[in-house]
Amino acid sequence: MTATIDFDAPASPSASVAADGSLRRIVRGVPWPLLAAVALFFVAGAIGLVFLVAPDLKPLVFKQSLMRAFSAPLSRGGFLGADQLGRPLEWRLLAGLGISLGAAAAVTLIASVLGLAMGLLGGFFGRTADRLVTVVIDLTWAYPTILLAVVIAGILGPGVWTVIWALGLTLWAALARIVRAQVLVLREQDFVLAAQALGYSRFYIATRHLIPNLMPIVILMATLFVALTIIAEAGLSFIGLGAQSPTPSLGKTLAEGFSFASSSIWPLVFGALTMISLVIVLNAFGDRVRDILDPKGRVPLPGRRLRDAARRAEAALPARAVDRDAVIAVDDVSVAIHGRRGATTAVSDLSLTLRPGQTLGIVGESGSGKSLSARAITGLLPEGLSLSGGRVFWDGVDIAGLPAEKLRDRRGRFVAMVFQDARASLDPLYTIGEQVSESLAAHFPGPRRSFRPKVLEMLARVGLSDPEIFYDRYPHQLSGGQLQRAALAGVLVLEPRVLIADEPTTGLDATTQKKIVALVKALQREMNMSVIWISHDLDLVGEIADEIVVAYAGQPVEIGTVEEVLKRPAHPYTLGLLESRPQATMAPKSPLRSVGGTVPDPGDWPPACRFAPRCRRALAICGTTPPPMELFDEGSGRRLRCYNPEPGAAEAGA
Amino acid sequence: MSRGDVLLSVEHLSKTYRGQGGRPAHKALDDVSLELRASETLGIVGESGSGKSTLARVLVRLTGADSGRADYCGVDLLRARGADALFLTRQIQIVFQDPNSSMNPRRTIRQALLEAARVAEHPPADIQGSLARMMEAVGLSREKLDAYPHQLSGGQRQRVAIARALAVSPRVVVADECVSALDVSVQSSILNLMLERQRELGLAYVFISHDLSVVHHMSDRMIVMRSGRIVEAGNPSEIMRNPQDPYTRELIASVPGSGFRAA
Repeated sequence: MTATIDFDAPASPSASVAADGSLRRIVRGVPWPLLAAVALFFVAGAIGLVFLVAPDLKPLVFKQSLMRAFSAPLSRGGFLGADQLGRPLEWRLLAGLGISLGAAAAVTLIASVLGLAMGLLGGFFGRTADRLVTVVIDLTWAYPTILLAVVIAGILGPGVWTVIWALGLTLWAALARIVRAQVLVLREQDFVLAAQALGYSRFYIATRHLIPNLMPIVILMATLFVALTIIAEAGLSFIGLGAQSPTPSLGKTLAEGFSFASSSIWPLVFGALTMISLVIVLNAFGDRVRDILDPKGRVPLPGRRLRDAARRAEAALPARAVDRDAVIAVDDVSVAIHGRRGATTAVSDLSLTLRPGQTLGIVGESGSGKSLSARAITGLLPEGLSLSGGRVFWDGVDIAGLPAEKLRDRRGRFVAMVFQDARASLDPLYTIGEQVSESLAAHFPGPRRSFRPKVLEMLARVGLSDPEIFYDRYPHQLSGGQLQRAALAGVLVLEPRVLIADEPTTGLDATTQKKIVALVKALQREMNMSVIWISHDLDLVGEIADEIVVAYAGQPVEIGTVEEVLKRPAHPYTLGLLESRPQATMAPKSPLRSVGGTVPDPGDWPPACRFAPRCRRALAICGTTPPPMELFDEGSGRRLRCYNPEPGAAEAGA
Repeated sequence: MSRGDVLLSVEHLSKTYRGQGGRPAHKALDDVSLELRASETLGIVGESGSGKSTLARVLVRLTGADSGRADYCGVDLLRARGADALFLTRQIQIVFQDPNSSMNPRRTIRQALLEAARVAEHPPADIQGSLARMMEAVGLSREKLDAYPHQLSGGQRQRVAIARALAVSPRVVVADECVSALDVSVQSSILNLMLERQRELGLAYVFISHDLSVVHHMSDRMIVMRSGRIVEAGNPSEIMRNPQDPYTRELIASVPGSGFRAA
């Protein structure tokens, strides 16, 4: 989803992971009561461990007094009462917490170190090592922990250390698998290749470049290991493989409490309460850590309520004159992003009309808001974004007035979209034919099979010759160009009035791009469709569009016919874009013109003209008063947002 | 050594990737021969699967070849070990495509440049001062040294990637699609930077891209690759004017705007 939103790196998860250390992010992101509860358990555990080792304090935990056996809470036997040997339960539980958390820490350490090392070995130290590691992981995976515990108990005798080794030597495999998969991705990253090209050893690269980037996963898995160990220790102690009397691990206390429950229920009750609260706290903590460290776990804030509020406010305003012939008319639309610090405008002042059969090109660099503009036109904004003003008309009907159900039904048949990443828009589990049928099934009644002739015809029309064969192919069996053809078939089979193509050829080879452009042109003629073609490439848009919208920092700055805009650009930004591309007419290796600086992010837009800080023709007024979009030249109908247009354009336009 | 002397010569280089999981073997390089002279730019244009990136990786020894020869100033590039390998590392560096992955997200720009500067034959005495000069040479302020990669724009990251490649004072820089992920306005400033550095330091570039007009603009000589083979080689303007191979003709015809802007 994020790939189609038109913003630069700051939103990308990997970047924000790097912003500061994982641990700092956890401390900041976990609610303080939860953090305090985790800290409390660990401090209590540490104190409990001290009680187990310090000779002066040991008797508190171990000293028997049969006189006080099974005494009730708040009696002479202690605050929480005493167990079957008269030992105060609070000290036993405190020490048990120490043993269980200590064991958990040991297991986590063993499993993390082993998992990280094995994962790295497999992923980064050659094919032979990888095969070996994979076999060992699979064997470990297949071998039950409890069997290993029996084997280890045979060597070490039952006890806490048996539990630690049995768990440590099995849990690592889970981490190693994930680490290995992550390393396979990381090792192809350019920074790893660059370090290799600088001649650094694998060991250096693994420690300096790979491990720091693997830490979030290790921390994530570690929180899981801790909770798992607590529960597994209880289980193993219960069946006699874990802690032995008189060692008071939580599992042992529970097991003894269970045996003597008929004499006193309290040891079992308090043991279980301690255990349950500990596991709940650890799991809640683990969940939060996963939300913080897992880039996919992030949930954007929904924007629906705000959008509805905006719609209601808009409905009160009288409708402005709208071009009734237009297939799509957009009137002063703006789009807002809702983040933690309130709403930020990402697109504003968007007004345009699309006539039947016309092709409109929207051009801009990343951050210009061109993709969001297109999404606003379809009424399909991603989560966390909303239409914060203006209206969109389909065939003269304000889509804000349509009920959601009706809008959904009309959407596919009226306006269709194809994206840059055709592979991502197709489901890898279904054949091409099934997916094209799916589009029809969403709008028309009847069994899927009945759509087959129509689907085959569509596949043939998008140039997938031998449609019978392509009908049964899966997305991974197709090349990039074929995938884009299949994606086109999937939306065009509904014969929409408008096709919105969002960078559909970016990333494809030039020769393939040319074929896709020719295909869309041909289909447009056949189906009498209007097309909105979004691209960063002015030259490409020049080949396909009748009219061009040049967008900068979330608003259109120049709208005109292809001839006018490309041959006599009026906005300094348009000219800057055109001059940045090397031309065949230029002397090779001569300096290229360039627009200095970068597109500002939404929220950082200059107050008046948003291009002014990068503009070589900026005047004083450009920094004080926002330039309006005005008719620039009567004849061609070109509109421009600029106080000081390029002189070449003015002469020609006059 | 002066301008025009042959630095790098590659003869009959071939490399086949073994097919995995039932896929057929893939011939990435098929009998490729080329020469790179001092201070010149050799442009390589090709589409996906043409073998151009494999060639880049062979030149900086990230991957080997199955057969053929590659020789840099008398050192065998395919079999270099020890001191020879270090010599090659210092002579041939690389700039990659993706500004998002070219830097370790968890290390500062200073750490990234330091890592490269340490490899140089004569690390400067005042290494911190030299880092600041490296930044200025690629048009970045020295304050950016302590920034993390995500705090820089794509263009700025690509400038750092160039600074990192230049930190070992190489004679050859392999640029593998180094402007393909950038917006046009940023792309032109990076290309200008590369041209400036070349004039000043006498660098030789192997400039690899799928973008014919960019390769044409940057190169002294140009090679067109397809499916691991060189289909055409020669003077860039000559090739554009009078392409011999049908594939080159198709490639030229596919450049968007070629018809419109020529008018």
